Amino acid sequence: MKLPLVVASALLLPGLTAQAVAHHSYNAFDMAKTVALVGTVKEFHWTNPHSWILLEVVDAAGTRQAVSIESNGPGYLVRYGWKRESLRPGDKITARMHPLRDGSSGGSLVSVVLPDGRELQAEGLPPGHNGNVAGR
Amino acid sequence: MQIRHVFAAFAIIALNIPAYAPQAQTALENKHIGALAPANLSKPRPKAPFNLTGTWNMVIDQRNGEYLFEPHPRLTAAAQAELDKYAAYKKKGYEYRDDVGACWPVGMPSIMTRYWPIEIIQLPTEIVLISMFDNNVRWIYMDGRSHPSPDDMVYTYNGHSVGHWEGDTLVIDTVGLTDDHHWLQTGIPSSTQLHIVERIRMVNAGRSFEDQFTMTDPVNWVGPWVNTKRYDREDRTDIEEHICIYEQMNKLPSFKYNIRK
Repeated sequence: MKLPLVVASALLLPGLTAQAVAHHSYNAFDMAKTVALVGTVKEFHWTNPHSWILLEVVDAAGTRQAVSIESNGPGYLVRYGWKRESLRPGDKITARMHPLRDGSSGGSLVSVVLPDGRELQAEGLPPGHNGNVAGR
Repeated sequence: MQIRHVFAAFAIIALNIPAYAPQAQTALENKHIGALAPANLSKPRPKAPFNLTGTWNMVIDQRNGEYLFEPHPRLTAAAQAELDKYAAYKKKGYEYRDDVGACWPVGMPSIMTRYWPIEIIQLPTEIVLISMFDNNVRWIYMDGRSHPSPDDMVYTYNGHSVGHWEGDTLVIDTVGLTDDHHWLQTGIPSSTQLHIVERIRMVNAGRSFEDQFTMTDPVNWVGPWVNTKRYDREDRTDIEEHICIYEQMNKLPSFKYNIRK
């Protein structure tokens, strides 16, 4: 039963679902845009109602930059296969995120690619949703 | 001798303490019997036409606004001005008065439209509804009581709800909703005159229910605002602890884009 839920989630535009799932609207993020950042995990906060990652990335000029990436809370992420220690400080990961509109270093997490190549999703319907969507 | 003196002292102290007796109830506590009091639960009542006990998910339906109540009615000038401010900030990539983003309760009716499961426990005297979103709770009294008088009303985010059966329909009447940091949709204000009537009926052979919301608030919009949401039974999940903590929220990158004045 896992697969239909994921398929149904993919049908939803993130901008439409995010607001009713999260604690705030996603006006600050460019939900139409997804960027991939390669970096090193500095901090991973496994907290309600939103988890977040502090990722250190090095830009083309060699400057280190801390990027704050927010996500959903643990109760949500575990349904997508996350664990408390999925991310540890020092892990080299790729984070896909919707960037902040004003270009500041931050974003809303879409997924992460772990050092072992597995990808963990962070966007879609919340835990326990049966994926029932009407009118499409 | 010394030990006898100690006993004597205890005896004197004990004599000065009155025997345990429940304190006299205040006038307010005496007003009605609690919904879960055995004497209330055991009163004879007609059998309820259906039982909402279960875990439910709102169906995400584009035709009626998904998590919003669309279309919304004509707003009063003041309410429209607030919504316009919201839209202007949104255009610039900001959130205007997103109080939920700072851990204020979502409130009625929006708590009924989060994309999180809702747990409902139906008893003869009370229906308890717990949204997984922030674990917000509604208590719907079914024991025949009426709303508190305006003098006694405590204005809250989910309001004061009383329910009764009309044939095969559960009718819930909610008043006493606060206007403090309480918004409908995205940016429509609500006043303490907000009145919500829900008509709930079972459909889909008991696997779904429909909740028709009729909302009036003469301060903020003209006429009734009607919208129907459907909820499906979800037997494969339970709700869990989910709590908003301001000190966590204000560390998120989106927080500084929330204009809250």
